[in-house]
Amino acid sequence: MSTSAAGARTGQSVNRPALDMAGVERSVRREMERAFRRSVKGLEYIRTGDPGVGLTPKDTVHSRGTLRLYHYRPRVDEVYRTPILLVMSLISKPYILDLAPGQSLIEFLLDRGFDVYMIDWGTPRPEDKRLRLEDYVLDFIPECVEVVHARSGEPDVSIVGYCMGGLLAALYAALHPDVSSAGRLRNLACFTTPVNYDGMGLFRTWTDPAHFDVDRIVDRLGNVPPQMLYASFNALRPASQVAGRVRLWDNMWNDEFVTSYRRLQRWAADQIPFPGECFRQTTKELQQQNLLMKGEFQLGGRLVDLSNIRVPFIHVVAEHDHIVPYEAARDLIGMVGSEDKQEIMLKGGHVSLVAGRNAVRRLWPRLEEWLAERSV
Amino acid sequence: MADSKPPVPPPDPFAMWREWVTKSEHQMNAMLNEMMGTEEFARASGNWVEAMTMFQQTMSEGAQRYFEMAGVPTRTDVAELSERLTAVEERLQRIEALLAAAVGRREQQNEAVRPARTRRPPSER
Repeated sequence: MSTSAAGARTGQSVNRPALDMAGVERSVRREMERAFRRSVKGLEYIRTGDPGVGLTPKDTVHSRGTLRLYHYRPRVDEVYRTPILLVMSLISKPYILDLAPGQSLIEFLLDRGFDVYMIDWGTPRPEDKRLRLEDYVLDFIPECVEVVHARSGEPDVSIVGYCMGGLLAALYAALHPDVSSAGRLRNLACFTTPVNYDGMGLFRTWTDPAHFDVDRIVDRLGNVPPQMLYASFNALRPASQVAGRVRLWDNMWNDEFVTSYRRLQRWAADQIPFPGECFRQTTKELQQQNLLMKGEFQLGGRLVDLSNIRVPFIHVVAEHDHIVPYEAARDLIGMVGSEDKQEIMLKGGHVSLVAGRNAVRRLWPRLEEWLAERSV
Repeated sequence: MADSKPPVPPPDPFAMWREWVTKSEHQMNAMLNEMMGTEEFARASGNWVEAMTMFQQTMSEGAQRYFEMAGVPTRTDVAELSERLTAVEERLQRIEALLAAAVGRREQQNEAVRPARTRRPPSER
């Protein structure tokens, strides 16, 4: 029996703090105001269109098929010598790195004095179903690196890859170890990059060859439709869609929250088709056979050995990443042959690692600090 | 002495409700993930994908036959045309690059607005 309860029964005076009634009143008033603003803002939410994304001024300096290489216009008078090339995933739009002013990694890097380029793979057309990883790693990325080299006049480039873009960048780095060539790699930064596909959790189970016939899917559909990819990503956290909408309603009074939510939702739903042959290759050779981890993965007849990567390397992983779990990403640091290498784990999930309020405080300054020392 | 204690903030039911939403979300996700990680689920989802792709292929072939009969270009025709256009575009770009190299012109960029590449890291400033 608690002391206070005993005291109340015996009628003794109890040393009990008073209830903060003013606090109760404040809490109720706050919620009433929010309820009112929610109804007003809710109408605005329905009426207004999607907020703009990817607005940082840029020039398209190279194009090939659906690929576009962007060069972002500088925002300061003095930049670091080494330009940065951002490599995005094949299955999502690159504007996650340029969501909005103040929420854009690209804008942040420009303001901190970096010269920034980005590869946008575009939306694959039906004829792009033939593209394989070889096309990206041995042809498209080297071509873009060459353009960056020609345009910047600098012999080297830092590459930053996110998710599957990190994988493409690491494969490129492993197969282009020649540091004496023009357009050579200077630094490599990967975010949440999977290498051990045994650690891919539910994706691994769902693509088990006993139940998942990738040949039939690609032969029938060509490119894998974005709806299929979107559904599989959503299925990883089935309750989060509903919870997300509840939180949106709860925060409808908060303009900043709503705008940020809409931008991130737009990006999440804005999936693009996965080039068919590339999907077949990644599903069979990486997802099902885990060849990269076994050291048996080949591209264009060449064995991919990640220990050939000797340049300064950083791998940033997210503590609560449900798309690329740590079990799938943690081996990369050990496989890379660089002497100057580090892995850092930051709080957050797969997307909040690179975009949103948390990214501004956590990843971006760390990336700036790491790159700045190595970009002169 | 009792009067000197600061007033106790009341339990905020709205904060409790928010916590409950987050907790329930995590519990539901964990429970459903466990269910979706079973072989039965993998088999069922494989069957669903099989049926979906079969349906999509049938629809696509049906539409193609219909457009062929109606004398209207099909998606395949448009894709072939697009492929040829892309090849022409790429060839033009290669010619353009060769021409630029032949006349010794570097990438077009206004030198006056190019920032100096002399920035030092904050630790050296």
